[in-house]
Amino acid sequence: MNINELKIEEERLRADISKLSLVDKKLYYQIEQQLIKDPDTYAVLNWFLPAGIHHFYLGKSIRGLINVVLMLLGLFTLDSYGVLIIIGILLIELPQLFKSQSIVFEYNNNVMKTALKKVQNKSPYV
Amino acid sequence: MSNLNQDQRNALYIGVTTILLCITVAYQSFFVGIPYLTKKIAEIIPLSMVKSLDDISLESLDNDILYPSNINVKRQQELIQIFQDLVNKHSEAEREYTLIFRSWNNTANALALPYGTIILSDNLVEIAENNHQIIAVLLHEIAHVEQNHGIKDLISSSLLMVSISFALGDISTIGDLLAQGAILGIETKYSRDIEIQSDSFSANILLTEYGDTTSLPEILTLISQQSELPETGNNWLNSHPNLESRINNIKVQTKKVFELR
Repeated sequence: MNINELKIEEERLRADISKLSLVDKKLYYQIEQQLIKDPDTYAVLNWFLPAGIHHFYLGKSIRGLINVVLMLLGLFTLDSYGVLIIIGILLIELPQLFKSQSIVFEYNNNVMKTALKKVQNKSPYV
Repeated sequence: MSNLNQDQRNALYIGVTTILLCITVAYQSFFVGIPYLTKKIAEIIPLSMVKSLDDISLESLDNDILYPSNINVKRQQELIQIFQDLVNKHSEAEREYTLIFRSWNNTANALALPYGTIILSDNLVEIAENNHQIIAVLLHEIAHVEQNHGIKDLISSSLLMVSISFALGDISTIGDLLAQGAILGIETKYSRDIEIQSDSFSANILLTEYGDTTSLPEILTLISQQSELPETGNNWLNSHPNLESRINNIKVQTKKVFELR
């Protein structure tokens, strides 16, 4: 999804949220606040070291762990093929830095959907 | 771990990974990256610059700590002849080797400048019990020139300083002291490695040419005994490895060559 499609999806979700009762809205925002992620933090973690710690930020622990292991392998074998491993990770991870806004936007929309579903399923007021 | 929520778990993973990676990156940069870059940069430094550095260093040493030699001319010529033979046989680098003698405040020492000027102190010539011991020292110094240690040392110090300043940025006085301590520790580690490499070079040639490396530990022991500085077990801040490490390295080199034969 591109950023415009994500914005449209967000507006649709916001419209659904506005239909919630005050109590549900409060509950919804409590859930959302805990799970929502900041695209700038994601970008900084991605930029800091191309090691996959930005994946941990979004809760993708397995992907993060694979990246970290590969990165460490690359660093420890710098004098042989390590540079190739690090370049490989960079080539895979760097585009995510440029797409950080839309990646986190999509993640946050999914968070909104999940939170909304949780509140709607719990609430008799919808 | 089970008490932590998803966010706390993620933060823990990020923290642990960051620390692990920072340590690894720092370690690999200092012990693999900087030596690699140093080697590459040293290869492209023009010889004219190396020669200038050699001249300036000698001039500065002559002005500060070195004095004209008191060794008689005949002995000097004898050692210069030995030195020239060693250079003709074992030198491959594009350098102009010169052996000079200086009085060095009662210090028994030898020094190699980057373009091939090798300085022997009067005391070293005097404490040596035979020419073999002086040959061992000269080979050690030739190794410094052949392996371009002077220039590499200069480049690695600069790279180290730039890297640490870049990594730590604008730091406080305490941070500055810690950074300088780290620089000193790493620089002396590079320096000790260089000394060990030169000892190995000297030991290998001594073994090949004379079938025996004992003259090298002998002269190192004499220099150490003559030195006013105490020999300590902890050598992490010394620019030279301690005598025991150097002698052990020579033994290892000797054993290796015998095994290869």
